[in-house]
Amino acid sequence: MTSVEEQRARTLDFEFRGDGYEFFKIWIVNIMLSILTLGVYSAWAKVRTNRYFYSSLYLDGANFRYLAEPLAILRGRIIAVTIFTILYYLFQYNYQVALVLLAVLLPMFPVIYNQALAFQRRMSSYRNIQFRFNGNYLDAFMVMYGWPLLGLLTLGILYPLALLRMNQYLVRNSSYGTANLEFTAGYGDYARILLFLFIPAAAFLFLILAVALSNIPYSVAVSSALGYIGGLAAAAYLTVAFTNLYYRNLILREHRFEATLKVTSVAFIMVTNSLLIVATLGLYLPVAKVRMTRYICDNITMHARGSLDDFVAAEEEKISALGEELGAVFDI
Amino acid sequence: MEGRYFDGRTSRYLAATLSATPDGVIRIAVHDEREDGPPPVELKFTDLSITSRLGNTPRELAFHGDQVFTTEDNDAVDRLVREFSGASTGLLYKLESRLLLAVAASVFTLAFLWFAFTHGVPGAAEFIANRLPDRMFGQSDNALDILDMRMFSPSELSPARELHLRATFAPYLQQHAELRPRLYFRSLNAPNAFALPDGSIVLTDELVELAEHDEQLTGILFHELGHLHHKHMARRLVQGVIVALMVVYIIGDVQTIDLLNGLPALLIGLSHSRDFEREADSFALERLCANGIAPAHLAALFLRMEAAYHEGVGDADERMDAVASLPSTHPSTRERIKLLESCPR
Repeated sequence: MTSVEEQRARTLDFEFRGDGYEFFKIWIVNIMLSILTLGVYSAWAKVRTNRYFYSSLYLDGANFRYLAEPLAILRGRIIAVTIFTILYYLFQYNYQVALVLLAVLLPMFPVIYNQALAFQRRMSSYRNIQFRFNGNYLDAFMVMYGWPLLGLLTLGILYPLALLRMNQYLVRNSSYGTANLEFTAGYGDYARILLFLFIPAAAFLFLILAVALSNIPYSVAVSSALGYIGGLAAAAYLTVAFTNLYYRNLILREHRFEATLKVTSVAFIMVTNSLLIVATLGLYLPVAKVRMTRYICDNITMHARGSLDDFVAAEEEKISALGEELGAVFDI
Repeated sequence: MEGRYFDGRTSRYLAATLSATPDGVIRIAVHDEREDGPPPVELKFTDLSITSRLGNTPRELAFHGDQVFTTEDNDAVDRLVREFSGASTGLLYKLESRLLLAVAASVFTLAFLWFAFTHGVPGAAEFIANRLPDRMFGQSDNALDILDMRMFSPSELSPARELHLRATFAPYLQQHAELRPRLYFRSLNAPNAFALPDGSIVLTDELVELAEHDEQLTGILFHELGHLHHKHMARRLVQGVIVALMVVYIIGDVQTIDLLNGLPALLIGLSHSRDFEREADSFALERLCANGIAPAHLAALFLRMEAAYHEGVGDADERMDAVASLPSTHPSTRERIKLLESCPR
C-alpha cells in the first residue's frame, strides 16, 4: 500500500435520515389504503415502506435505493397467498394430501430461497449500481436443511457451523455490481457467542422452573414475567453479538466494516419500544422501527480504502417477485 | 435544480444541474473537475421516468437506460412535473403529509381492526364456512386415527358401562342425525371431550368417571354436538387463514425486531376460541332444556372438572378470573356456570 492510498483510508458513517413521525404518516396511510382495497394496496405499501428505509440510508454522500415495482410484488403476493391458503386447509382436513404436497414442496424451498434473495438484492442499488445474488441449489439446500440438521444431531455442537455456513452463503454469493463480497468469520466466533449465552440461560431457566414449582403466591405470573425478561435479554444479546460479528467480518473488495452495537442500548430500545407499542395499541410500531434502524445504522461504519467510485455494474437480470413473496409468506 | 448524476455503469457520481426550457427540453449539465467530463445531456421531458414523492427522500429521475439524476429538491421536481405533464403533486404524498389525515387514518384503522377481529373476521368466516360443501370438512375419517396414534389409548370402561351410555345417548344423537355424529370412548389421563370435523365425538374415560350421573355427560354430549352444529372447526380454519394473512401483511410488513409479532395472532385466535365455546354452551343449554334435563347438571360437571385441573378454586376473585381467562381457550368456569343456571322462560 502506498502512502497516498494510506492517506485515503477513510471512516465512513452509515447515516439513517429517516424520521419516525414522517414514516408514521406513510405507514398509517399504507394500512388504511390496504384495508380499503382489501389488501391489494399492500404491494404498494411494501414498496413505499422499503423505498423510504432504503432512500433514507446514506453512505459517503449518496443514498441507497429500492427499485421494485408494485405490480410485480402484487402478482407474487396473490400466488403466495393462494398456495398458503390451500396448504393451510389441506393440513387440517386432508392430512395425506397435505403431506404429499409438502414432500413435493420441501425440495423446492431452496429454489424459492435463492429466488427471494436474488430478487431482494437486485432491487437494491447504491449509487445506481445494483446488488446481485447468485446462489446455487446444493449450497442453499445444505444451508436450509443440511447444516441445521447436523447441528441438531450433534446436540447443538455443530449448530454454530450451521450459522456460519448460512452467513457465508449469503455474503459470498452476493455482489455489489461486479464486485464480490467476502466473509471471514469462523466457527469459533459463532460458538463463542452461543456458549456465552447458553450458561446464563440454563441457570436462568432453572430459576424460572424453581419459581414456577414453588409455593410463592402468583408463582405462574412471576415465572412467566421472568421468562419474558429472559427472552428479551437473550434477543438483545444475540442481535448485538451477531450483528457486530457480521459487519466486522464483511469485506467488499478492499473495504471493510465495523459495528459497535451495545447490548444495554439495544435492550433498552427493545423494552421501551414494546411498552410504547402496547400503550399506543400498536400505533408506535413504525416509530419503533425507525428508532431501532437508526440505532443500528448509527453504529455501523465502513473503513474504506480509496474511493467508492470504481465499482462496475453487473449484467441485466430478470427475476420475478414470486420468490420473495413466497419467502415472506412461508417465513423462509 | 441541483443534484447528482449517476451514469449507471460505474458507482462514480458527479454534481449536476438540471434545467428545463419552456418547450420541454431538459438539460442536465454535469460538473466534472476533470476537463474530459461528459457533455451536457439533452432530452425531452417524456424521456424521464420520475419516482413518486415519498416524504423527504431524494427523488430519482431516470433516463436512457440506466442513467439517473437524483435530487433532494422535491419541490422543484414537483414544479417540473406540474409544468410539463399537468399532473398535480402525487395524491399519495398529499395523503401522507397531513397530520390531520394521519390522525383520522389512525382512528379509522384502530376502529376497523377492533371491529374486524370481534365481528368482521368471525362473520366472514361463518359466511364462508356455511357455504363450503360439508364434504370438504367431513372427509377426515383418519382424524381419529391420527389422534389414536398420538394421544389416545383404548378405552378401559367396562363394556356394560359403555353400552349403558350409548343407549342413554342414542335418542339425542338421533335428534341430530344430520350431523352424522359417532360416539367413541378413549383413555387420556385427563377428563375431556372432543368433537372432530367428521362428526366423531370422543369422551375420555376420566370424564365418564368424574361425572356423578348420566345427565352431566348428556350436557357434555350436547356441548360437543353444538360444536358440530355450528361448524366450529370449519369456521376456525377460515378465521385462522384470515388472521394469519392479516398479521403477516399488516404487522409483518414492518418487520420489527421486538417480540410482539406472534402475540396478536395468538390472542385473537384464543378469543375466537372462547366465543366458540360460549356458542357450544348455549347450544347445550337450549338442547338440555328442550329435553327436560336441568342444565345445572352440566354446570356441576364443569366445576368438578375445574377442581380436577387445579388444586383448589378457592377465593379467586372475579377480576383475576377475567384476566386469567385471557390466555385460555375456554371462558372462565364461573362465566360458564352462570350461563347454565337455569332454563330460560
